[in-house]
Amino acid sequence: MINHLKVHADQLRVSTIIGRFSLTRHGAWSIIKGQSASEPCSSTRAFLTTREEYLVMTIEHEDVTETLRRIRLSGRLDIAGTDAISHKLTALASVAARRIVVDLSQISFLASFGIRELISNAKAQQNRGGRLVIFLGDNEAVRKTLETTGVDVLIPLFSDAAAADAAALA
Amino acid sequence: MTEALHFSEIDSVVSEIRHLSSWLEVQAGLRGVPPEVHAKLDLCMNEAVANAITHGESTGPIRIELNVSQRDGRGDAVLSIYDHGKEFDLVNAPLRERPTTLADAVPGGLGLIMIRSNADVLQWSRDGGVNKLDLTVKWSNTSDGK
Repeated sequence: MINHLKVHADQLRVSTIIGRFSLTRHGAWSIIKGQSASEPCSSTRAFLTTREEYLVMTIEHEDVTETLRRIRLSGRLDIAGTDAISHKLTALASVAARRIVVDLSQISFLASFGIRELISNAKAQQNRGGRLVIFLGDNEAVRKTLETTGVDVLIPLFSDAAAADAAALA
Repeated sequence: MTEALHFSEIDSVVSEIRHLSSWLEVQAGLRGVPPEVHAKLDLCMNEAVANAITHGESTGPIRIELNVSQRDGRGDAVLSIYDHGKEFDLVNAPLRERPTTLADAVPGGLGLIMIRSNADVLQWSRDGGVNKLDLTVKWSNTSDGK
């Protein structure tokens, strides 16, 4: 069974802003020198919309066997994204003596707070006699971040899903 | 060619860092910053601002400015970050020793590693109670690279 949790980690700020709009080539709306309805704009602070990609962090899981659980994250694993899924991730990854594959192939951004969360859960699972590995697919940006920070020495990384499953069960 | 200065500002609240990321993505795109360079700037910015808020106890506004210059196929993107937190020389702060096992891993220290590995040039200064960090990421469209 696949369970899905979608969390909106932030809200748009633009509903009270009146100003000029421009559509960028990225499809993001940018409000320039906006003026709120309640306070005249005397500064050049730029208020921005936040793209959908920035707002939604998802976490799903699948129990492949009684022992092996895959947890799939997607979105931006920055501070806000990590906060949004932290409790759920810990709950899913804290089952006793489970073998866990965390799928980061759909993570568009990985900050140190997100890495910290992964290490914390991997340690906890190891202490319970289980194991946590990371599946990346072809997500080279996240791989580079994990290797730069030395996480690849602590938590095994895999581009191949079958290899990740096998390593988790080893 | 050096383009005009642009900036964005948030309160010292971690949930607002995404607004800076969104602004940075728009500005980088408008000014022809390559995607891989923008990605490095975004990573560095997230880590530096988060550090200022969570460890530097920054209060008040945090401001970022982006300056982009390009000439003869080479470019520099300079992201300047201003915060009112505790004095912290991010450029020269010592790095923690990296753990070699999961058991030895402790929280913290990764942000500095990420900033130093993604920025080509880092400069820090402090004036009037304000930390200023300048992050430069360079790129080249020529065959000889940087």
